[in-house]
Amino acid sequence: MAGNKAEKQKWSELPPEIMELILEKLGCVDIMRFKAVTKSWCLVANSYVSSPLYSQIPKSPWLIYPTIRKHPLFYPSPQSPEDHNDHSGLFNFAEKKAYKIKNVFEECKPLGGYVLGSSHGWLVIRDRTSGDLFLLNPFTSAKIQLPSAGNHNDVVVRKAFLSSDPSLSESFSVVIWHGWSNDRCRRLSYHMHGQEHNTWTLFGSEDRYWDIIYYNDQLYVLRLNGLLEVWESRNRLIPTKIAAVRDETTWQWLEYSITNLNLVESLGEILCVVCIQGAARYKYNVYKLDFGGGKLWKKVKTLKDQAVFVGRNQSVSLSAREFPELERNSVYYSSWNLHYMGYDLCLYNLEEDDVVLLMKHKHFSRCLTPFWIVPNPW
Amino acid sequence: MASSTSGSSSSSKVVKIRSSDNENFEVEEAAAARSETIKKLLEDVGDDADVIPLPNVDAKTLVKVMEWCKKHMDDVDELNKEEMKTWDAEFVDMDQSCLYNVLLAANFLNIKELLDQLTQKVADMIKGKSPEEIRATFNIKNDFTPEEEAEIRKQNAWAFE
Repeated sequence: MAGNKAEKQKWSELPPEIMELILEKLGCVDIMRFKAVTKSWCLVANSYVSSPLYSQIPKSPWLIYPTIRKHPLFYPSPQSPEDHNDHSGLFNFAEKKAYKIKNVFEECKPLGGYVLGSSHGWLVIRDRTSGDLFLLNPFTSAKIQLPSAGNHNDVVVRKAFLSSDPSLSESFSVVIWHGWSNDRCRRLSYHMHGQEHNTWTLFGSEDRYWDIIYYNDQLYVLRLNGLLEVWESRNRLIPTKIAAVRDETTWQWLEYSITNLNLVESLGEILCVVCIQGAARYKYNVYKLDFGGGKLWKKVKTLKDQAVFVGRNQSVSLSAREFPELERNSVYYSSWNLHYMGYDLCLYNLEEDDVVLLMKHKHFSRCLTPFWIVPNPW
Repeated sequence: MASSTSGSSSSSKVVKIRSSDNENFEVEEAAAARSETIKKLLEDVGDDADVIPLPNVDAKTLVKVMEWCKKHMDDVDELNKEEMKTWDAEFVDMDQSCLYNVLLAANFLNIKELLDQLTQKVADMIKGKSPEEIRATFNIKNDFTPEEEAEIRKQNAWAFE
Protein backbone atom coordinates (compact mmCIF):
# COMPACT_ATOMS: atom_id res chain seq x y z
CA MET A 1 0.00 0.00 0.00
CA ALA A 2 2.59 2.48 1.15
CA GLY A 3 4.71 1.71 -1.91
CA ASN A 4 1.80 2.37 -4.24
CA LYS A 5 1.08 5.69 -2.59
CA ALA A 6 4.66 6.84 -2.96
CA GLU A 7 4.54 6.04 -6.65
CA LYS A 8 1.38 8.01 -7.17
CA GLN A 9 2.85 11.19 -5.80
CA LYS A 10 5.19 12.62 -8.28
CA TRP A 11 6.49 15.76 -6.70
CA SER A 12 8.87 16.00 -9.65
CA GLU A 13 5.86 16.30 -11.95
CA LEU A 14 3.97 19.06 -10.18
CA PRO A 15 2.33 21.45 -12.66
CA PRO A 16 4.62 24.42 -13.44
CA GLU A 17 2.08 26.93 -12.10
CA ILE A 18 2.25 25.29 -8.66
CA MET A 19 6.05 25.11 -8.85
CA GLU A 20 6.17 28.83 -9.56
CA LEU A 21 4.05 29.59 -6.50
CA ILE A 22 6.56 27.60 -4.44
CA LEU A 23 9.57 29.31 -6.07
CA GLU A 24 8.09 32.74 -5.32
CA LYS A 25 8.42 31.90 -1.65
CA LEU A 26 12.07 30.85 -1.80
CA GLY A 27 15.22 32.96 -1.54
CA CYS A 28 18.02 32.66 -4.08
CA VAL A 29 20.12 30.05 -2.22
CA ASP A 30 17.11 27.80 -1.83
CA ILE A 31 16.37 28.20 -5.54
CA MET A 32 19.97 27.13 -6.32
CA ARG A 33 19.50 23.96 -4.27
CA PHE A 34 16.01 23.48 -5.72
CA LYS A 35 17.58 23.36 -9.20
CA ALA A 36 19.89 20.52 -8.17
CA VAL A 37 17.04 18.25 -7.01
CA THR A 38 15.75 16.90 -10.31
CA LYS A 39 15.69 17.78 -14.02
CA SER A 40 12.09 18.97 -14.14
CA TRP A 41 12.61 21.27 -11.13
CA CYS A 42 15.78 22.63 -12.73
CA LEU A 43 13.89 23.55 -15.91
CA VAL A 44 11.07 25.27 -14.05
CA ALA A 45 13.50 27.19 -11.82
CA ASN A 46 15.57 28.33 -14.81
CA SER A 47 12.54 29.67 -16.62
CA TYR A 48 11.30 31.30 -13.40
CA VAL A 49 14.53 33.21 -12.66
CA SER A 50 14.84 34.41 -16.24
CA SER A 51 11.26 35.70 -16.38
CA PRO A 52 10.59 39.46 -16.28
CA LEU A 53 8.38 38.82 -13.26
CA TYR A 54 11.30 37.54 -11.21
CA SER A 55 13.49 40.56 -11.91
CA GLN A 56 10.78 42.79 -10.44
CA ILE A 57 10.25 40.86 -7.22
CA PRO A 58 12.01 42.64 -4.33
CA LYS A 59 14.85 40.68 -2.80
CA SER A 60 16.38 41.00 0.62
CA PRO A 61 19.96 42.31 0.76
CA TRP A 62 22.87 40.26 2.06
CA LEU A 63 25.98 41.52 3.66
CA ILE A 64 29.22 41.09 1.77
CA TYR A 65 32.50 41.57 3.60
CA PRO A 66 36.06 41.23 2.38
CA THR A 67 38.12 39.03 4.66
CA ILE A 68 41.69 40.15 4.14
CA ARG A 69 43.37 39.72 7.52
CA LYS A 70 45.98 42.39 7.16
CA HIS A 71 45.28 45.32 4.98
CA PRO A 72 47.81 45.60 2.13
CA LEU A 73 47.91 49.36 2.56
CA PHE A 74 49.20 49.06 6.11
CA TYR A 75 51.47 46.15 5.30
CA PRO A 76 52.65 46.95 1.80
CA SER A 77 55.51 44.44 1.87
CA PRO A 78 56.25 41.66 2.09
CA GLN A 79 53.08 40.14 0.75
CA SER A 80 52.83 36.87 2.55
CA PRO A 81 50.07 34.57 1.31
CA GLU A 82 48.43 34.61 4.76
CA ASP A 83 47.70 38.32 4.34
CA HIS A 84 45.13 37.53 1.75
CA ASN A 85 42.23 35.26 2.39
CA ASP A 86 41.03 33.44 -0.65
CA HIS A 87 37.38 34.23 -0.04
CA SER A 88 34.90 36.99 0.71
CA GLY A 89 32.20 36.52 3.28
CA LEU A 90 28.47 36.64 2.64
CA PHE A 91 25.81 36.84 5.29
CA ASN A 92 22.18 36.02 4.62
CA PHE A 93 19.80 37.46 7.20
CA ALA A 94 16.91 35.25 6.20
CA GLU A 95 18.86 32.13 7.11
CA LYS A 96 21.16 33.81 9.64
CA LYS A 97 23.92 31.99 7.86
CA ALA A 98 27.36 32.94 6.52
CA TYR A 99 28.76 31.71 3.21
CA LYS A 100 32.13 31.99 1.54
CA ILE A 101 32.52 33.10 -2.07
CA LYS A 102 35.52 33.81 -4.25
CA ASN A 103 37.52 36.80 -3.04
CA VAL A 104 36.10 39.84 -4.81
CA PHE A 105 39.59 41.39 -5.02
CA GLU A 106 41.18 38.31 -6.51
CA GLU A 107 42.06 40.09 -9.73
CA CYS A 108 43.46 43.16 -7.97
CA LYS A 109 46.97 42.02 -7.20
CA PRO A 110 49.36 42.75 -5.57
CA LEU A 111 47.85 45.67 -3.66
CA GLY A 112 44.24 44.51 -3.65
CA GLY A 113 41.25 46.68 -4.31
CA TYR A 114 38.32 48.33 -2.66
CA VAL A 115 34.60 48.54 -3.20
CA LEU A 116 33.17 51.91 -4.23
CA GLY A 117 29.55 50.99 -4.30
CA SER A 118 27.03 48.26 -4.89
CA SER A 119 23.79 48.34 -6.77
CA HIS A 120 21.58 45.83 -8.56
CA GLY A 121 23.73 42.97 -7.26
CA TRP A 122 26.96 44.35 -8.74
CA LEU A 123 29.97 45.80 -6.94
CA VAL A 124 31.95 48.71 -8.34
CA ILE A 125 35.58 47.84 -7.57
CA ARG A 126 38.77 49.81 -7.94
CA ASP A 127 42.12 48.15 -8.35
CA ARG A 128 44.60 49.76 -5.97
CA THR A 129 47.58 49.03 -8.21
CA SER A 130 46.33 50.20 -11.59
CA GLY A 131 43.51 52.50 -10.47
CA ASP A 132 41.22 50.63 -12.90
CA LEU A 133 37.52 50.46 -12.28
CA PHE A 134 35.31 47.49 -13.00
CA LEU A 135 31.94 46.02 -12.14
CA LEU A 136 31.84 42.59 -10.57
CA ASN A 137 28.91 40.35 -9.86
CA PRO A 138 30.33 38.45 -6.89
CA PHE A 139 27.81 35.63 -7.30
CA THR A 140 28.52 34.81 -10.94
CA SER A 141 32.06 36.28 -11.17
CA ALA A 142 30.91 38.22 -14.26
CA LYS A 143 33.06 41.27 -14.82
CA ILE A 144 32.54 44.48 -16.83
CA GLN A 145 35.48 46.79 -17.35
CA LEU A 146 34.87 50.54 -16.95
CA PRO A 147 37.08 53.31 -18.33
CA SER A 148 40.00 54.28 -16.14
CA ALA A 149 39.45 57.18 -13.78
CA GLY A 150 43.16 57.89 -13.63
CA ASN A 151 46.02 56.87 -11.43
CA HIS A 152 45.09 55.68 -7.96
CA ASN A 153 47.46 58.17 -6.31
CA ASP A 154 46.08 61.14 -8.24
CA VAL A 155 42.36 60.50 -8.26
CA VAL A 156 40.34 59.32 -5.32
CA VAL A 157 36.94 57.84 -6.13
CA ARG A 158 34.59 57.98 -3.20
CA LYS A 159 31.39 56.41 -4.38
CA ALA A 160 29.86 54.98 -7.55
CA PHE A 161 26.29 54.58 -8.74
CA LEU A 162 24.65 52.43 -11.40
CA SER A 163 21.55 53.52 -13.32
CA SER A 164 20.22 50.01 -13.87
CA ASP A 165 21.03 46.32 -13.71
CA PRO A 166 23.88 45.54 -16.17
CA SER A 167 22.71 41.91 -16.33
CA LEU A 168 19.44 42.98 -17.96
CA SER A 169 20.71 45.46 -20.51
CA GLU A 170 24.04 46.64 -21.82
CA SER A 171 22.88 50.22 -21.92
CA PHE A 172 23.41 51.39 -18.40
CA SER A 173 25.27 54.34 -17.05
CA VAL A 174 27.60 54.86 -14.12
CA VAL A 175 28.29 57.98 -12.09
CA ILE A 176 31.39 58.37 -9.95
CA TRP A 177 31.99 60.91 -7.23
CA HIS A 178 35.69 61.71 -7.17
CA GLY A 179 38.41 64.23 -6.38
CA TRP A 180 41.99 64.69 -5.27
CA SER A 181 41.58 63.32 -1.78
CA ASN A 182 38.75 61.94 0.28
CA ASP A 183 37.69 65.28 1.75
CA ARG A 184 38.14 66.97 -1.60
CA CYS A 185 35.83 64.76 -3.59
CA ARG A 186 34.01 67.53 -5.37
CA ARG A 187 33.49 66.28 -8.91
CA LEU A 188 30.99 64.03 -10.59
CA SER A 189 31.65 62.09 -13.77
CA TYR A 190 29.33 60.16 -16.00
CA HIS A 191 29.88 57.16 -18.22
CA MET A 192 27.36 55.67 -20.59
CA HIS A 193 28.25 52.07 -21.23
CA GLY A 194 28.36 50.57 -24.71
CA GLN A 195 29.15 53.87 -26.46
CA GLU A 196 32.06 54.60 -28.73
CA HIS A 197 33.48 57.17 -26.34
CA ASN A 198 34.64 54.88 -23.64
CA THR A 199 35.40 57.60 -21.17
CA TRP A 200 34.22 59.60 -18.15
CA THR A 201 32.58 62.98 -18.73
CA LEU A 202 32.57 65.61 -16.00
CA PHE A 203 29.21 67.18 -15.21
CA GLY A 204 27.72 69.46 -12.57
CA SER A 205 29.54 72.04 -10.49
CA GLU A 206 32.63 71.55 -8.43
CA ASP A 207 31.14 71.25 -4.98
CA ARG A 208 30.91 69.09 -1.92
CA TYR A 209 28.06 66.62 -1.84
CA TRP A 210 26.06 64.76 0.75
CA ASP A 211 24.81 61.91 -1.36
CA ILE A 212 23.60 60.89 -4.78
CA ILE A 213 20.98 58.38 -5.85
CA TYR A 214 19.83 56.97 -9.16
CA TYR A 215 16.11 56.47 -9.47
CA ASN A 216 14.24 55.82 -12.73
CA ASP A 217 17.26 57.00 -14.75
CA GLN A 218 17.20 60.27 -12.87
CA LEU A 219 20.05 61.29 -10.68
CA TYR A 220 19.24 63.05 -7.40
CA VAL A 221 22.27 64.98 -6.22
CA LEU A 222 22.27 66.61 -2.80
CA ARG A 223 24.92 69.32 -2.47
CA LEU A 224 26.48 70.33 0.81
CA ASN A 225 24.64 73.66 0.84
CA GLY A 226 21.33 71.82 0.68
CA LEU A 227 20.69 72.38 -3.01
CA LEU A 228 18.99 69.36 -4.53
CA GLU A 229 19.60 68.81 -8.24
CA VAL A 230 17.79 66.34 -10.46
CA TRP A 231 19.58 65.17 -13.61
CA GLU A 232 17.99 63.22 -16.43
CA SER A 233 20.28 60.57 -17.88
CA ARG A 234 18.09 58.24 -19.92
CA ASN A 235 19.78 57.56 -23.30
CA ARG A 236 22.04 60.55 -22.87
CA LEU A 237 25.74 60.89 -23.41
CA ILE A 238 25.75 63.48 -20.68
CA PRO A 239 23.07 64.10 -18.02
CA THR A 240 20.85 67.18 -18.31
CA LYS A 241 19.85 69.15 -15.25
CA ILE A 242 16.05 69.26 -15.04
CA ALA A 243 15.56 70.72 -11.57
CA ALA A 244 17.45 72.49 -8.80
CA VAL A 245 15.64 73.26 -5.57
CA ARG A 246 16.76 74.60 -2.25
CA ASP A 247 14.57 75.21 0.73
CA GLU A 248 16.18 77.37 3.43
CA THR A 249 13.60 76.78 6.13
CA THR A 250 13.80 73.03 6.17
CA TRP A 251 17.48 72.84 5.70
CA GLN A 252 18.15 73.66 9.33
CA TRP A 253 18.77 70.05 10.23
CA LEU A 254 21.90 70.23 8.18
CA GLU A 255 23.25 72.60 10.81
CA TYR A 256 23.71 69.66 13.15
CA SER A 257 26.98 67.89 12.89
CA ILE A 258 25.75 65.12 10.68
CA THR A 259 28.21 62.29 10.29
CA ASN A 260 26.50 60.90 7.29
CA LEU A 261 23.40 61.14 5.19
CA ASN A 262 21.87 58.74 2.71
CA LEU A 263 19.34 59.22 -0.02
CA VAL A 264 17.03 56.22 -0.36
CA GLU A 265 14.20 55.39 -2.70
CA SER A 266 11.32 53.86 -0.78
CA LEU A 267 7.93 52.98 -2.27
CA GLY A 268 8.49 55.48 -5.07
CA GLU A 269 9.51 58.32 -2.77
CA ILE A 270 12.94 59.79 -2.15
CA LEU A 271 13.90 59.70 1.51
CA CYS A 272 16.79 61.41 3.20
CA VAL A 273 18.07 59.27 6.06
CA VAL A 274 20.17 61.44 8.33
CA CYS A 275 22.51 60.06 10.95
CA ILE A 276 22.04 62.20 14.07
CA GLN A 277 24.49 60.66 16.49
CA GLY A 278 28.10 60.13 15.67
CA ALA A 279 29.00 57.94 18.66
CA ALA A 280 29.47 54.19 18.42
CA ARG A 281 25.72 53.80 18.06
CA TYR A 282 24.01 55.80 15.35
CA LYS A 283 20.46 57.06 15.36
CA TYR A 284 18.60 58.36 12.36
CA ASN A 285 16.08 60.99 11.35
CA VAL A 286 14.12 60.46 8.17
CA TYR A 287 12.85 63.15 5.78
CA LYS A 288 10.73 62.77 2.69
CA LEU A 289 11.25 64.75 -0.50
CA ASP A 290 8.15 66.73 -1.45
CA PHE A 291 8.11 68.94 -4.52
CA GLY A 292 4.48 69.83 -3.83
CA GLY A 293 5.21 73.20 -2.22
CA GLY A 294 5.92 74.16 1.37
CA LYS A 295 8.84 72.40 2.93
CA LEU A 296 11.01 70.51 0.47
CA TRP A 297 11.95 67.89 3.06
CA LYS A 298 9.20 66.79 5.41
CA LYS A 299 10.13 64.90 8.55
CA VAL A 300 8.73 61.39 8.60
CA LYS A 301 7.80 59.93 11.99
CA THR A 302 7.60 56.35 10.86
CA LEU A 303 8.82 54.18 7.99
CA LYS A 304 5.77 51.99 8.62
CA ASP A 305 6.50 48.47 7.36
CA GLN A 306 9.69 49.47 5.58
CA ALA A 307 13.23 48.50 6.57
CA VAL A 308 15.95 50.68 5.05
CA PHE A 309 19.55 49.58 4.45
CA VAL A 310 22.02 52.44 4.33
CA GLY A 311 25.74 52.47 3.69
CA ARG A 312 28.11 53.02 0.86
CA ASN A 313 25.92 50.79 -1.25
CA GLN A 314 22.98 52.17 -3.15
CA SER A 315 20.52 52.25 -0.28
CA VAL A 316 17.65 49.77 -0.30
CA SER A 317 14.18 49.90 1.20
CA LEU A 318 12.15 46.72 1.72
CA SER A 319 8.86 45.75 3.28
CA ALA A 320 9.12 43.73 6.49
CA ARG A 321 5.77 42.21 5.57
CA GLU A 322 7.40 40.48 2.62
CA PHE A 323 10.58 39.71 4.53
CA PRO A 324 9.72 38.50 8.02
CA GLU A 325 13.41 38.38 8.92
CA LEU A 326 13.52 42.17 8.79
CA GLU A 327 12.33 44.52 11.50
CA ARG A 328 9.82 47.08 10.30
CA ASN A 329 10.30 50.82 10.78
CA SER A 330 14.07 50.37 11.05
CA VAL A 331 17.32 51.59 9.55
CA TYR A 332 20.03 48.93 9.09
CA TYR A 333 23.62 50.17 9.07
CA SER A 334 27.20 49.23 9.86
CA SER A 335 29.56 51.36 11.93
CA TRP A 336 33.23 51.18 12.79
CA ASN A 337 33.92 50.25 16.40
CA LEU A 338 37.26 51.52 17.68
CA HIS A 339 37.18 49.38 20.81
CA TYR A 340 37.83 46.17 19.04
CA MET A 341 38.73 47.43 15.58
CA GLY A 342 35.84 45.96 13.70
CA TYR A 343 32.44 46.70 12.32
CA ASP A 344 29.17 46.59 14.22
CA LEU A 345 26.04 45.75 12.30
CA CYS A 346 23.08 47.42 13.88
CA LEU A 347 19.52 48.41 13.35
CA TYR A 348 17.90 51.56 14.62
CA ASN A 349 14.18 51.31 15.27
CA LEU A 350 12.37 54.63 14.82
CA GLU A 351 9.47 53.79 17.08
CA GLU A 352 11.50 52.46 20.01
CA ASP A 353 14.21 55.06 19.36
CA ASP A 354 16.60 52.23 20.14
CA VAL A 355 19.64 50.58 18.57
CA VAL A 356 20.01 46.80 18.40
CA LEU A 357 23.41 45.24 17.76
CA LEU A 358 22.93 42.46 15.19
CA MET A 359 26.47 41.23 14.92
CA LYS A 360 30.13 42.13 15.30
CA HIS A 361 32.91 41.48 12.86
CA LYS A 362 36.39 41.80 14.22
CA HIS A 363 38.34 40.71 11.20
CA PHE A 364 37.20 43.59 9.04
CA SER A 365 39.71 46.17 8.09
CA ARG A 366 38.56 49.74 8.44
CA CYS A 367 39.19 50.33 4.74
CA LEU A 368 37.21 47.25 3.79
CA THR A 369 33.72 48.28 4.70
CA PRO A 370 31.05 45.60 4.68
CA PHE A 371 28.44 46.20 1.98
CA TRP A 372 24.79 45.44 1.56
CA ILE A 373 24.23 43.64 -1.70
CA VAL A 374 21.03 42.40 -3.26
CA PRO A 375 22.01 39.05 -4.79
CA ASN A 376 21.73 38.85 -8.56
CA PRO A 377 23.17 35.38 -9.06
CA TRP A 378 21.58 34.18 -12.33
CA MET B 1 -25.34 45.94 0.18
CA ALA B 2 -27.58 43.77 -1.96
CA SER B 3 -24.86 41.21 -2.38
CA SER B 4 -24.37 40.85 1.37
CA THR B 5 -28.05 40.01 1.97
CA SER B 6 -28.13 37.54 -0.87
CA GLY B 7 -24.88 36.11 0.50
CA SER B 8 -26.32 35.43 3.92
CA SER B 9 -29.51 33.89 2.54
CA SER B 10 -27.59 31.62 0.21
CA SER B 11 -25.19 30.53 2.96
CA SER B 12 -27.68 27.95 4.16
CA LYS B 13 -28.18 26.66 0.63
CA VAL B 14 -26.65 23.27 0.03
CA VAL B 15 -24.96 21.96 -3.11
CA LYS B 16 -24.06 18.41 -3.99
CA ILE B 17 -20.61 17.48 -5.24
CA ARG B 18 -19.23 14.12 -6.31
CA SER B 19 -15.65 12.92 -5.91
CA SER B 20 -13.66 10.95 -8.49
CA ASP B 21 -14.39 7.75 -6.57
CA ASN B 22 -18.11 8.45 -6.81
CA GLU B 23 -18.87 9.58 -3.29
CA ASN B 24 -21.47 12.31 -2.97
CA PHE B 25 -21.14 15.20 -0.53
CA GLU B 26 -23.53 17.93 0.52
CA VAL B 27 -21.83 21.20 1.34
CA GLU B 28 -23.04 24.69 2.02
CA GLU B 29 -22.91 26.72 -1.15
CA ALA B 30 -20.95 29.51 0.51
CA ALA B 31 -18.22 27.02 1.42
CA ALA B 32 -18.15 25.29 -1.96
CA ALA B 33 -18.01 28.67 -3.69
CA ARG B 34 -14.58 29.32 -2.16
CA SER B 35 -13.54 27.24 -5.12
CA GLU B 36 -13.59 29.41 -8.23
CA THR B 37 -14.04 26.24 -10.31
CA ILE B 38 -17.17 25.12 -8.44
CA LYS B 39 -18.48 28.69 -8.32
CA LYS B 40 -18.23 28.96 -12.09
CA LEU B 41 -19.89 25.56 -12.59
CA LEU B 42 -22.74 26.61 -10.30
CA GLU B 43 -23.22 29.83 -12.24
CA ASP B 44 -23.25 27.92 -15.51
CA VAL B 45 -25.76 25.26 -14.51
CA GLY B 46 -27.85 27.54 -12.27
CA ASP B 47 -30.41 25.94 -9.95
CA ASP B 48 -30.89 22.94 -12.22
CA ALA B 49 -27.70 21.39 -10.95
CA ASP B 50 -28.12 17.98 -9.50
CA VAL B 51 -24.63 16.84 -8.57
CA ILE B 52 -21.42 18.57 -9.58
CA PRO B 53 -18.83 15.96 -10.57
CA LEU B 54 -15.21 16.61 -9.63
CA PRO B 55 -13.33 13.94 -11.60
CA ASN B 56 -9.88 15.02 -10.40
CA VAL B 57 -10.42 14.87 -6.64
CA ASP B 58 -10.86 11.73 -4.55
CA ALA B 59 -13.18 11.56 -1.53
CA LYS B 60 -10.45 11.69 1.10
CA THR B 61 -8.92 14.80 -0.43
CA LEU B 62 -12.27 16.44 -1.04
CA VAL B 63 -13.20 16.05 2.64
CA LYS B 64 -9.97 17.78 3.57
CA VAL B 65 -10.45 20.63 1.08
CA MET B 66 -14.08 21.17 2.12
CA GLU B 67 -12.99 21.28 5.76
CA TRP B 68 -10.81 24.26 4.84
CA CYS B 69 -13.56 25.88 2.73
CA LYS B 70 -16.07 25.57 5.56
CA LYS B 71 -13.67 27.22 8.00
CA HIS B 72 -12.98 30.01 5.50
CA MET B 73 -16.61 30.46 4.47
CA ASP B 74 -17.11 33.79 6.20
CA ASP B 75 -14.89 36.82 6.36
CA VAL B 76 -12.67 36.74 9.39
CA ASP B 77 -12.88 39.63 11.80
CA GLU B 78 -9.83 41.01 13.59
CA LEU B 79 -10.60 39.10 16.80
CA ASN B 80 -10.52 35.72 15.15
CA LYS B 81 -7.47 36.39 13.00
CA GLU B 82 -5.01 34.82 15.43
CA GLU B 83 -7.25 31.83 16.01
CA MET B 84 -7.59 31.36 12.26
CA LYS B 85 -3.82 31.56 11.82
CA THR B 86 -3.35 28.73 14.31
CA TRP B 87 -6.07 26.70 12.63
CA ASP B 88 -4.48 27.20 9.19
CA ALA B 89 -1.04 26.22 10.51
CA GLU B 90 -2.47 23.00 11.93
CA PHE B 91 -4.42 22.35 8.74
CA VAL B 92 -1.40 22.45 6.42
CA ASP B 93 0.59 20.30 8.84
CA MET B 94 -0.37 17.05 7.10
CA ASP B 95 1.68 14.15 5.85
CA GLN B 96 3.52 14.50 2.60
CA SER B 97 1.17 12.33 0.49
CA CYS B 98 -1.92 14.12 1.73
CA LEU B 99 -0.24 17.50 1.13
CA TYR B 100 0.46 16.51 -2.48
CA ASN B 101 -3.16 15.54 -3.15
CA VAL B 102 -4.63 18.60 -1.44
CA LEU B 103 -2.18 20.82 -3.35
CA LEU B 104 -3.30 19.41 -6.71
CA ALA B 105 -6.95 19.63 -5.66
CA ALA B 106 -6.58 23.26 -4.55
CA ASN B 107 -5.03 24.01 -7.93
CA PHE B 108 -7.80 22.22 -9.87
CA LEU B 109 -10.57 23.73 -7.73
CA ASN B 110 -8.83 27.12 -7.99
CA ILE B 111 -8.83 28.14 -4.32
CA LYS B 112 -6.20 30.84 -4.34
CA GLU B 113 -5.80 31.37 -0.61
CA LEU B 114 -5.52 27.66 0.15
CA LEU B 115 -3.04 27.22 -2.69
CA ASP B 116 -1.00 30.03 -1.22
CA GLN B 117 -0.95 28.42 2.23
CA LEU B 118 -0.02 25.00 0.84
CA THR B 119 2.76 26.27 -1.41
CA GLN B 120 4.09 28.24 1.57
CA LYS B 121 4.15 24.98 3.53
CA VAL B 122 6.07 23.24 0.72
CA ALA B 123 8.48 26.19 0.49
CA ASP B 124 9.08 25.96 4.24
CA MET B 125 9.83 22.25 3.85
CA ILE B 126 12.44 23.09 1.17
CA LYS B 127 14.11 26.04 2.91
CA GLY B 128 17.58 25.43 4.29
CA LYS B 129 17.75 21.86 2.99
CA SER B 130 20.38 20.34 0.71
CA PRO B 131 19.21 18.77 -2.60
CA GLU B 132 19.66 15.30 -1.02
CA GLU B 133 17.48 16.24 1.95
CA ILE B 134 14.83 17.72 -0.35
CA ARG B 135 14.77 14.51 -2.42
CA ALA B 136 14.39 12.44 0.75
CA THR B 137 11.58 14.68 2.06
CA PHE B 138 9.51 14.48 -1.12
CA ASN B 139 10.53 11.02 -2.28
CA ILE B 140 12.06 12.32 -5.50
CA LYS B 141 14.45 10.33 -7.64
CA ASN B 142 17.70 11.96 -8.73
CA ASP B 143 17.54 11.81 -12.55
CA PHE B 144 20.70 13.81 -13.24
CA THR B 145 23.82 12.13 -14.52
CA PRO B 146 26.75 12.69 -12.13
CA GLU B 147 28.23 15.11 -14.70
CA GLU B 148 25.03 17.14 -14.99
CA GLU B 149 24.67 17.39 -11.25
CA ALA B 150 28.30 18.43 -10.82
CA GLU B 151 27.80 21.15 -13.45
CA ILE B 152 24.74 22.60 -11.70
CA ARG B 153 26.50 22.59 -8.36
CA LYS B 154 29.60 24.20 -9.87
CA GLN B 155 27.60 27.23 -11.03
CA ASN B 156 27.03 28.25 -7.42
CA ALA B 157 29.34 26.00 -5.46
CA TRP B 158 29.20 28.23 -2.36
CA ALA B 159 25.47 27.58 -1.91
CA PHE B 160 26.10 23.86 -1.43
CA GLU B 161 28.76 24.09 1.28
